[in-house]
Amino acid sequence: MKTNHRLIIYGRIGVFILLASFIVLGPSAQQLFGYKLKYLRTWRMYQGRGLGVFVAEFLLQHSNGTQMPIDRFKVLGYYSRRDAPRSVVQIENQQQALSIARRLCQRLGQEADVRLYTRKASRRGWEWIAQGETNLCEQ
Amino acid sequence: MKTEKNSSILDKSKAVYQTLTQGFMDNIILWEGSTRPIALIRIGIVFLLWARFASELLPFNKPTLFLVLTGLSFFLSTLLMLLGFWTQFATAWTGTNLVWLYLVAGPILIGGTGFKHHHTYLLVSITCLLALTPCGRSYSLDRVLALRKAKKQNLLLPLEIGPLWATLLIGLQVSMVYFWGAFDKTNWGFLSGSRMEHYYISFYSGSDYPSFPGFSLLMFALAISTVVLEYGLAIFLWVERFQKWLIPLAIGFQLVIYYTLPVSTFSLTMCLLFLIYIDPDKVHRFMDELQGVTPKET
Repeated sequence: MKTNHRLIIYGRIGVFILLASFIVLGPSAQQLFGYKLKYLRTWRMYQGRGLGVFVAEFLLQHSNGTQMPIDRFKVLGYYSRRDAPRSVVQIENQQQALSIARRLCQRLGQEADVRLYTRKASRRGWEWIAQGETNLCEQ
Repeated sequence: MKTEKNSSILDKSKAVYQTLTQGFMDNIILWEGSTRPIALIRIGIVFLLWARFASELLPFNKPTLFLVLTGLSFFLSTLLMLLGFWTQFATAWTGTNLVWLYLVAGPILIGGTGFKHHHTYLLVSITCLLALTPCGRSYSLDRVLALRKAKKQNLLLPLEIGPLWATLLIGLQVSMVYFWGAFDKTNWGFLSGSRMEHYYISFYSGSDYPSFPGFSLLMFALAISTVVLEYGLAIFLWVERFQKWLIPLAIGFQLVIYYTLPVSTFSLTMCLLFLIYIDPDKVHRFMDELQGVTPKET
């Protein structure tokens, strides 16, 4: 049975408008205007996930300029990716990538032309750090 | 002439205003319907609350008076809520417990930021909003007791009908999760597929860029479709004629997220809450059908 009680109806109207405004406009404080308020929730799921992820690709450049990917696990003597230590599997920065590149040069011989492509995840997409500019075995 | 024109505009504005306020009153504030969907959500939410919070509130974790009292209060209130005994009070009590856990007790119990995650906030918010609904009028001990009382006193059996204005707030909460979630993704970093690539690489491939053909294109397509779907769900879940295919699509979307990413109770909570968009009387009839009850008996 529908209520006719004025107080209940006005109470419902007040609570509804208040909560609806909080639910709809609450996230806008930070997501639209940039004000970080403790009690207003934002809906930015997975916003920070994957940021800083580092990707390294090692390529062997032939004398005619063509490049082919190097399987670093096989070249460094591991049976597979699972066999390799974490420091070889998970490359976290440029220094670590350069150190692996040096080990690849040692294995492939100093005549080899190893190029390194690295990038880092940011909110705007990928930030390139190295794009195979130099032969790392010559350094 | 000018005055006549002005008064006609004024009359039209008044008519529009009256139609809007009448619509607001009839379709929101005074809206009544079956309480079965909201009761099903109440029961489902309790299981989700236990799945999320129970293990951290067991007394042997940190046997202090603070933890024991917080845990006891949580388990008692949720048990009453599940059984549907003093349901609205039990739901409000559970909501209070959750606000306490979210704002104060969480960091003390588990350290760091405590329970301040999106999926926990969603549970807190929905439980508090549930306390404003007659969620104990169906599938509850309260209902059994009301039926017995009516039979004993030879009164008409109480109907499973109640004011549903607060259920619209639950629907609004779900829509806003999608809307602001999509809004946050509306930037080139996400729409280009790069952020999807970051997720995939951080969870699945370490620091190697996946070598399978079309990976980049697949991530781009996933990013665009995610944003389009989220904006679409925020708006069109309210439109009855789209629900038939949009709700299964939304459930599929949530289940893919649940299977591929660590989202805790988030996806399952969202799946449960899709019930709120369906016409409550349709849910009521479906439950009758499921139980083999003919409309006469209800």
